[in-house]
Amino acid sequence: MGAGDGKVIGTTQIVDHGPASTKWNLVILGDGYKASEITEFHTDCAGFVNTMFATPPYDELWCGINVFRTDVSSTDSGAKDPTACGGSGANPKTYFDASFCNGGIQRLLEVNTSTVHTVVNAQMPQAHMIMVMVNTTEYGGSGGDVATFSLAPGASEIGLHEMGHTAFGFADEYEYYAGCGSGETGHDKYTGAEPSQPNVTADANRATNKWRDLVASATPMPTTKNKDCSKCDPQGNPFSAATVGAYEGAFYNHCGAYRPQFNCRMRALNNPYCAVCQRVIRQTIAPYMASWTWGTSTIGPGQTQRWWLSWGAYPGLEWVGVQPATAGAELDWDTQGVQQNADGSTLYWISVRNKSAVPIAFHFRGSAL
Amino acid sequence: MPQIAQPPQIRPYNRALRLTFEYEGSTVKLVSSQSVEMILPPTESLAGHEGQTGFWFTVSDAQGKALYRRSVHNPIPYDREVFSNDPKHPSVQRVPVAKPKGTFVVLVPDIQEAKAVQLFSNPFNVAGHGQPAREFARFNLVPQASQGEKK
Repeated sequence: MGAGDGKVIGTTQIVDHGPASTKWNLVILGDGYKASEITEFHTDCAGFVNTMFATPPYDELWCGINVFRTDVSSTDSGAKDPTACGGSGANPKTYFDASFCNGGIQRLLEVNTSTVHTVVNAQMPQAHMIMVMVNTTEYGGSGGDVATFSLAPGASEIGLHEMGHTAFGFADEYEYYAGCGSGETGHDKYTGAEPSQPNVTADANRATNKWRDLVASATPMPTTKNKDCSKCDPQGNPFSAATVGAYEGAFYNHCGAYRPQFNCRMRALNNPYCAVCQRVIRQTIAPYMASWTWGTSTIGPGQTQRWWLSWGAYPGLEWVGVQPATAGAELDWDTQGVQQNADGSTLYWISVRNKSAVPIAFHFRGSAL
Repeated sequence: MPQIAQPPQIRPYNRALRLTFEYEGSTVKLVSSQSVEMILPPTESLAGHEGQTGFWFTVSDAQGKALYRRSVHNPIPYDREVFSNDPKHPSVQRVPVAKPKGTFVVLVPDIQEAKAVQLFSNPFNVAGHGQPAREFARFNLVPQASQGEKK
């Protein structure tokens, strides 16, 4: 079982914004794909990349991100699915030993992380983040040093949540351990030390809270209070979804720990990252938004895209260009000005319009002085 | 209008040591060290985190002075996240792990002055959640893999 049950085929850069030595690098591997199914893995990877690119703030930071796909074939297709957890009993031989039912929990889908790291260390040691997609449509996944998720609808959200942990050091913002309706004890009130993670706190004091610069003066602190710490706070959000404050209930406790917004991807899947998490992601990726940037994109028929390039604190723009990838295709594009921010950063706005009836892929490139 | 990423105030490191650790329970071994040309994020603040709970690593020089520090999500999980797409269950919840075992990687700057990497964590059990982090392992940064001393 394991590495003897397949073969490492190779690694391909599927989002290319520059050399791996200068960019933030995500590596995606597959498990449970037979050699004859590797093209399906390519499609599944592309689907996740599209999801990530559509997820703020990765869309803004895309120029700083590379994605690599490592093709690994397995002897058999799918993942182990023990009957002990109510599974099908499938027992395929796969390279990374993907299996449901870890810890006796059906949805806990894990792989052998030691084998994953061995492959990544050899294939793509410049990886900042590693994900494994498992070739099964049954819902499942897991986190830790390697994010693992299946092909079930919505399972890519697991990858985005786990990337928050692994790549950016986020804590969980949910206010329970086993679940709000689980009758859990020992999670009524957080009395521990201040968490080192950027997106949870025990400090709801406006003067000292760690994300206080994002809190409007009109927003009360704490922003919500849980009236019954023996259970999760049942109240809805009394403020707008974008309001940043200190919402009681976080870090596996019903009271005593606070989260920055009512909802966040780190509280429950299928939500955007909160403003605090987005800021940390931007700060982490910023060093990879170097003075040179380039990449590719596609624009649909009749559509206009407006986006910006950023060179952080670099002093000024030298050149920017947009060019169709296909000979004969035509795009209208223009620059819409430079925005200098008070923090010394620069945004360079660009608009691209596709007047044709077919999608057009294009390259863009720019450089700073 | 999208918010701009804050520009880095410190030039990032452009060469890293890719340190691969194996763990079983709270025992951690450094099993490989690989020098890689890649950019690391700038260091987090080297002071002000004392007494906090969580997991972080520090790189220090021969005098023990901290040179680089990053907080990470605890890579030695004493519980695991379980996900659900069933509306009757929370989308995320946690379950304890009896005996954690696995592998994780830490990226540290590959610089001449770096002599040791120290790992800090709150205790590795559910009851230890919220307790202040303490140094639990230290490894010399040498080309060959080395065994850490558990504290």
